[in-house]
Amino acid sequence: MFSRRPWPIRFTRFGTYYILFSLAIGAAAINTGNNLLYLMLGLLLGLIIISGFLSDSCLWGTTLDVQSIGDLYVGEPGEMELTVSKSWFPGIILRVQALWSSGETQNLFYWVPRYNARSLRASVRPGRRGWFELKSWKTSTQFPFGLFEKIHQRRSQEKWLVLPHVAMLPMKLLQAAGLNFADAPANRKGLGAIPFDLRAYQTGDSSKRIHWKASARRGLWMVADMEEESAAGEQLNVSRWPVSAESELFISFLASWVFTLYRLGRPFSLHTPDANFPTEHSKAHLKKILTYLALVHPEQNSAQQVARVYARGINAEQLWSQFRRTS
Amino acid sequence: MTALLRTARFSAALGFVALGLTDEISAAYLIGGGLCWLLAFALDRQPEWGKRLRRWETAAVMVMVVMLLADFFFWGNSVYLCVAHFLMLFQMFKLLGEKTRKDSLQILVFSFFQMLSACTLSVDAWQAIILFLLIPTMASGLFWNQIAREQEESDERLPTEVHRPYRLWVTGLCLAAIPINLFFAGVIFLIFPRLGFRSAFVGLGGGRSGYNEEINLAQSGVIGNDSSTVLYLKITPAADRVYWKGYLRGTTLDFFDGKLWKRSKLLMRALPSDGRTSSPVRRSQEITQSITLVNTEGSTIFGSPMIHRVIAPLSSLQEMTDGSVRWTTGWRKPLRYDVVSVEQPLRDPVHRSLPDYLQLPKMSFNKTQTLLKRINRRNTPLARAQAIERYLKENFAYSLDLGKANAENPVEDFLFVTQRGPCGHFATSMAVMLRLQGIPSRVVAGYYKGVWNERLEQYLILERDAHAWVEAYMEGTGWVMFDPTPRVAAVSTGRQWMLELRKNWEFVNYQWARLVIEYDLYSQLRTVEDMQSRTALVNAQFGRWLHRRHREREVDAEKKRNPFSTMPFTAYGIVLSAITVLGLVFFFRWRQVSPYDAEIAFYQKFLEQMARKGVPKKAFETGHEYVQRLSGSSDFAMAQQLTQRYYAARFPGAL
Repeated sequence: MFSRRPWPIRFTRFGTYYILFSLAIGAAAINTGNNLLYLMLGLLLGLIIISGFLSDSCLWGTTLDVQSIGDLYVGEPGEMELTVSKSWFPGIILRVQALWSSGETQNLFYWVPRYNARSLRASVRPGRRGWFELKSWKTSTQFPFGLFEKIHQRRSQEKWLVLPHVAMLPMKLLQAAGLNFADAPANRKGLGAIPFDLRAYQTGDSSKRIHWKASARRGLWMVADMEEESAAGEQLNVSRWPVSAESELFISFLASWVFTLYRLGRPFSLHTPDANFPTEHSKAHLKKILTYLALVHPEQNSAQQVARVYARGINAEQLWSQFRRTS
Repeated sequence: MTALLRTARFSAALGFVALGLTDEISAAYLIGGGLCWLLAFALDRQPEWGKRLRRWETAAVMVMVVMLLADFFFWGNSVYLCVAHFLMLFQMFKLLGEKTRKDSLQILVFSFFQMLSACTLSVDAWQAIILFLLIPTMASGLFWNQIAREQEESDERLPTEVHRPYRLWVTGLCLAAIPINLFFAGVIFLIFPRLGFRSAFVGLGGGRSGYNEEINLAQSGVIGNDSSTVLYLKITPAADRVYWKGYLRGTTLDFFDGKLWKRSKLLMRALPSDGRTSSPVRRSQEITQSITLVNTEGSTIFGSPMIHRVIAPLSSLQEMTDGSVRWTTGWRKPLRYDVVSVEQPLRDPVHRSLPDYLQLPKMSFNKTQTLLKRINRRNTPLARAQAIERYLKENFAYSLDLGKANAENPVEDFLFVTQRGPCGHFATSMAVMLRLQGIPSRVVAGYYKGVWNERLEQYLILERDAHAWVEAYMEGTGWVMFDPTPRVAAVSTGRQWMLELRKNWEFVNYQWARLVIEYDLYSQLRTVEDMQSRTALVNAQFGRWLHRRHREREVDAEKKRNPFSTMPFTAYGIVLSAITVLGLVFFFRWRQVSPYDAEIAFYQKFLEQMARKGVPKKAFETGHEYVQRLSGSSDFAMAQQLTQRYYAARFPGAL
C-alpha cells in the first residue's frame, strides 16, 4: 500500500461527483451566460477552497507517540497505545493509519483538542521475533465536507522487541528431562531444616535458635544457623544452533522452557554456543534470556561456531527431539 | 444524524421557497410540497410508514419519470420547468419516506437542484437571498453528513464529549462560510470569462408563461394578477414622459379562428447596424426609451408605437412587416436596449395583401352585423372605427373574468351575453367588427402603463400590465391604433408602508438585475479597464508621493551631508527585508511542534549520515553507548556534542 508516495489528496466518490457537478455548472454558465449560474459555480468552488484549507489545518501540527502496552510475543495479540497530539488547530475526524512490520492498523480520532492529546489503542499481532517496526504512519481526514481526503504521511524509526512465542511445556516432558522438583541443600545459610553452622549468640537472635547442647558444652550461648533448601536449578545447554527450517520452533521451545521453569518457580540457566546465562530465578533474568532469544540469529551463529560440549545440564537438542516426538 | 436531518429539512424548505418564488410552479405543487414537509415531522414518530413507503420507491420513480416525459411532450412545458416539477415530486417522496443519512443527503442535493432550476426560471433578487441562505445550509449539511458517514463506516458511536465542540464548529463553519464563499463567488463571478456560446438545446425555454403571442378566448376562470416584473422603462429626457401614451407595442396577431388569435408568418428583414427601421419618418415627436427587459422569453423588442430605431447588444435583430422588432438568437437574461419611437401611424414597409387582415372565422356573426348597422352609420372608415371603439368603451365593462370556456362564439357571447371581460375580448370584438365592415384590422399584444417608481425614476411594467388593443388600416394614413378597453383606475391596495416596501424591493431587484444578472463580457472588460485606470491613478499618486519624499530627502542630505539620507529606498528595503525575515522566522517557528524539535531533528539527521557511512546506531544502544562505540573515530567529538544536545532537548528535566 505504501509502495509509492501517495498523493496528499484523494477524491472521495462524493467529491468526484461534486467536481463533475461543478464543471457541469461551469459549462452551463459559460454556455448560457446566466450569471446566477456563475454565482453558483463560485459558491461551489468556494466551498472546495474552504474544505481544502480546513482539512490541511486539521492535519498540520499532528504528532504521534506510540507506546506498547506490555511485552509483545510472536503470534500473540498485543496492544499499542497511539497518542495523537495537536498544535494550534484541533483534529477533527482524524484517521491515523499505522504501517507496522506485520500489517496495518487504523484508528479514528473524532476529536483532538488544540494543544492537547488523545489516545487510542491499536491491536497488533507480530508475525516474527526480533524488532517490530512502525515503518510509517499517515494521518488523513475528510473533514469538513467529505469531498476530499487529505493525507499526510511520515516515516518512522520507532521499534519494539518481539519476544519468541512462549507456552507452558507439558509436565511429562519436564519429568522425562529428569527435573527434580524436590528442594535440595543449597550449601548456604538459609531457613532449611538442617543445621549449617554454629556461632556465638548475638543480640537480636531468636531464642528458639539457641543450640542448648553446644551452649552447655562450651559454656557460651551458641546459636545454630540452618542451611538453605532450594531448587538446584536447571541448566539447558544448546551445543549448536540448528540450521533447519525448524530453528524458529526450536527457539520458541527454548523460550517456553525458561518460561515454564519461571512459572514453576524453578531457577534456570541457558548456555548456548555464543552466550551463557547463569542459574537464577527472577523476572529480569527471564526477560534477559527472552531478549537474547528474540534477537539471536541461528543461521549466522551455527555457521561460525563448532558444537560446544557441556559437563552438566540438559541437552536442548535431545529434549527438543523428544518434545517433537511426543507432541 | 438528527442534525443532518434538520439541515436537510431546512434546505428542502429553501428549495420549495426558491421554486415558489419563480411564479412558474403551480400552486398545487407548492401546496403538496408544503404539506409533505409538514407531514414529515409527524411521520418521524411512525418510522414504519416510512419503511412501507420505501418499498414503493422504484415504482414511484418510474411514475415520476413518466410524468416528466408527459410534462415535456404533452403539456409542452420547458425543460427547466419539467425538471423543477420532477424535483418537487421527488422531494415530496423523500420527505415522507424513511430517512437514512443518504436520504438526507439526497434531500440536500435536490434542494440545490431546485435552487438551480429556480435560478434558470427567474432572475429576481429573491434567488440571491436564497443563495445566500443556501451557503451555511450546505456547509452544515455536508459537515453533518461527513460525521454520520464516518460513524457508519467505523461502526463507532460518537463520543459524548465531541457533541459540544462539533456544534461550535458547525456554527463557526456556517458563519465563516458566508463571507469566504461570497468572496470567492464574487472573484469567480468577476473574472470568469463570459464566453456565452448560447448553444441552445431543443425545447429549452419553450412554453414559458408571461408575454404570450396568442389570445385565447376559449378560457374560463379569472385571470390572476401576476406581479412579476417584465421590464423597466426610462424615458429620456424625463420631460418627454408627457408625450408617452402608455403603450408598449409587442407584436401583432392577424389570424383569428373564432377562439384564438395567432400570428401568421410574417416577412422579416435584418435591421441595419444603425438600428433604423424602414418606415419613413415624418416630422413628429420622438420619444427615447431605455428599457431593461427582464423577461426575454418573447424575443420581442417592446417600445412605444411606432418603433423607429433600436439600439441593442444583439446582432440578430429583425424587423417584421407589421412593424415589430424581434431577435432570433437565444438570450436568457435581462436585455438592456434603447428605443426611439415616433407617434405616427405605421405603413407596412413591405405591403402584405390587405385582404389577409380581413380574414374571419367560419362562423355566423349575424347578431354582430345587426349591431354594427345600429351603431355605425358613418361613411369614412376612421369614423366607423372610432364609433366602434367608443361603443365598446361606453357599454361594456372591464373584468378579469374570462367567461365561459365552451362558448360557441366567444365574440357574440361577449357582445350580447356577458358584456364584460378582459382586454383581449374587447380587442377581438373590435377587430372582428372592423373586418366585418371591410376595414383591415389586427390585434396588438403589448403592455400598458405600469407603475412609476420614484426611487428608480423608471416605469415598472409587470405581467399584469399585459394589454391588447387594435390597429386598423386606413387608406392614405396607415395603421391607426384603437383601444376599445375602458379605463379602470388602478385601486391602490395595501398600506403605505407596504407600498414603500414594494418600491424599495423593486429598487433592489433592479440593481440586482443591473449589477449581477446583466454582467457580461462587456461589463467584464469595462470592470478590468476601470480597475486598470484606478490602479494607474493610485500608482501615479504613489509615484508623485515617492518623488516628493525623495526630493525632500535630497534637500535634507545636502544640508546634513549624510550619505544614507539620500537613499530613501534603503530604509524601505531594510524594513521590507526585516519583515520578510521575521515572517519567515515566525513561519518556521510556527511550523515546529516544539522548540526542541530542531535539536532532535538534527540528531536524527546525524544518525542517518552515520548509517550511510556504515556505522549505524543499533536499536538496543543508548545514545551514550553509541558515542562510546565511536570513540577513536573522527566523528567522535561531533557525536558527543550532538548527543549531549539531543539529551538536553529530549529530557530537559534530567540534566
